[in-house]
Amino acid sequence: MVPEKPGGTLSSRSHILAAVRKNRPPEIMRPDERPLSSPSGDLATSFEALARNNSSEILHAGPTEIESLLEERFGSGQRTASAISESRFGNLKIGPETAPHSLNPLDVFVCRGTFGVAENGAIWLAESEIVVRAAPFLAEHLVVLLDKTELVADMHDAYRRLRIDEEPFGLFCTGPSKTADIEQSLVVGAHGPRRHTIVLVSN
Amino acid sequence: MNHPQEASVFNDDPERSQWHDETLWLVRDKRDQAAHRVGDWESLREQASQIKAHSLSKLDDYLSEFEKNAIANGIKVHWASDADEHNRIVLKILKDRGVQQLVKSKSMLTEECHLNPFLDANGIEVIDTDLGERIVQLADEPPSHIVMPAIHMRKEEVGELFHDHLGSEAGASDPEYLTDVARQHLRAKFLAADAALTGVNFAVAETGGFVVCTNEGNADLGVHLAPVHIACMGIEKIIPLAEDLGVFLRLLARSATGQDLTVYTSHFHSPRTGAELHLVLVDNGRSERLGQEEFRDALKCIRCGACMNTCPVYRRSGGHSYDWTLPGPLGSVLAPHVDMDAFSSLPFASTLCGSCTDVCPVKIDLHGQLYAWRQKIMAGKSDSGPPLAMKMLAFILARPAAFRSAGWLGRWIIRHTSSNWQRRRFKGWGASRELPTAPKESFRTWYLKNRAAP
Repeated sequence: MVPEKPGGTLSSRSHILAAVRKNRPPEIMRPDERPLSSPSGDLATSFEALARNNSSEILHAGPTEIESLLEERFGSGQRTASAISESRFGNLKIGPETAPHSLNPLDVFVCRGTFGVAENGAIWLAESEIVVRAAPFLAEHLVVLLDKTELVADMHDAYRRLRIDEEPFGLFCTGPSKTADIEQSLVVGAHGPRRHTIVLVSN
Repeated sequence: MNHPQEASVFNDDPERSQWHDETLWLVRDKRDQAAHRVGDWESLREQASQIKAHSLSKLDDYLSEFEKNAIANGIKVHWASDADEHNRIVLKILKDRGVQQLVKSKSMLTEECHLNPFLDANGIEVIDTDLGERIVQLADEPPSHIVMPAIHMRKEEVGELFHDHLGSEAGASDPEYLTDVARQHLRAKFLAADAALTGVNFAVAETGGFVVCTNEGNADLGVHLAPVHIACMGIEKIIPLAEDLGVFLRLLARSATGQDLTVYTSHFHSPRTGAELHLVLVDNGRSERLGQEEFRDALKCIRCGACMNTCPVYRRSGGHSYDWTLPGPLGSVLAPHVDMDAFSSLPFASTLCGSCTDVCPVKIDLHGQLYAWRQKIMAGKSDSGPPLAMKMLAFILARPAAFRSAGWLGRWIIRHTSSNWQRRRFKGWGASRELPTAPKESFRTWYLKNRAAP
């Protein structure tokens, strides 16, 4: 039981729950689960088109080409890091113990994504894939590797596939950070990355 | 001041109010395009509305379930009956940890509770980090829109403000340049903050976690750097299942800005190693509203702002004219719960055209609720019956001969008086309208001459 406040009044918790119980309407049933339509056609085509629309850059690579591609395209950054353990990319070492402040400034951050969503170009990034929660937000340029076959049609399928509490933190990310708070003019690069590259890896 | 008076202040600058009107209509148009890309938008809205209705009907059960799971995840859960208790809880968390600088992302709830001035008075520096919110904070103004807080300001004004406060170049007004100035300024604040506060878009009872949506990445930069994260939410933000997120997230960004999803949709279940995660559940009148059948549905709101963008009154009167935390149709429905007398003009700040109801992603009958408030507000105030003008109109409409004479008189007056005289005579309605040119003859006369059977 929750302890009562001094003076014998109900705690706010009990007070709120009691008021809600008293005032709530008679139970309304959940809607029947009805399948909702998903985008038709090729998921990869739809994903790529929407990701580009979100200002993401799309690259394609085979599994053996990844290392050279990363080095060639993003290796010139002064401070670079990768959360992919088997990759040699990056001149900053990161691990679960890395203090997030120590990564700032960060030119390039590379990580893997779990899967992509065809209806909006989003990629799910789990905490274990980004290792340091702040890293994909601190970086000027975020590079995400995604297995080309790991795509779902829409957000319904995304949550069917995902267990959101499997990891302490995770996010859907759709492109570089953006704002339109000054006169509704779209500016790419608000607080987070100014650039976002998706490398679609095919076998 | 009441809404019409405040709105006329906004309309003192016709160029600004026209720009505001057109810009918000463009956002409404982007919303339409995004909605049309989804094949079964209407059934999605229906599902969302029903899930919310279900959640509200079992809200106490879901709150308890959420709390139990959140605690098991390592989240510290607090309960606040009202704004004052909410503010004191946040202050205590901050004081106990010696916090001096708090970075804050957008939370309409903390606006509702007036948290910023409270923390300020208690010696804590609050830095709003959403670009629009930082702009209005520097300008010492409240937000004028829940998604676009500084939509009432022109870029030149932002440039001047940034020149004064952040040392940007004098006269600079390029949005890209100004955004970059804010980025540098706020990055330093993110790195220096001792605590970060965010709102909550959805809290999931089944898993005891919550979701925060931003485009700028400001909520994430704040909470992933600071040792303490405080998330504040109204108790109505609970949804039962993780799969319900699929329904609401497909609707939220499309309704708000026309994006298919916000750039960052972050799911928090446990604090990061070595950090603290607090969550404050706030009632502040919500449990009472749950008991009012005709107004209960407003608790379904997911704060997308679509009702504001589409509202012909909001677009032409600006968010500040409502003089309350939430402007537009939704604000006009909620504000009278707080103080019916002070906000009695808000339910009348609507044409009852119903556009807000049509775009609402959770199908709140907004214009119906505005109409219901009008009945409540006018109850007992109209003992004298209809006003004289309405009685005269009823008399004339019931008598064809009187109607014909009145029509002739009206045309004569329009033809023989100046538009200045008309504006003075019909002030209020006539202030910003030109009467049309009066025809020489009535339709009836024309019809009798040209079409009547021989």
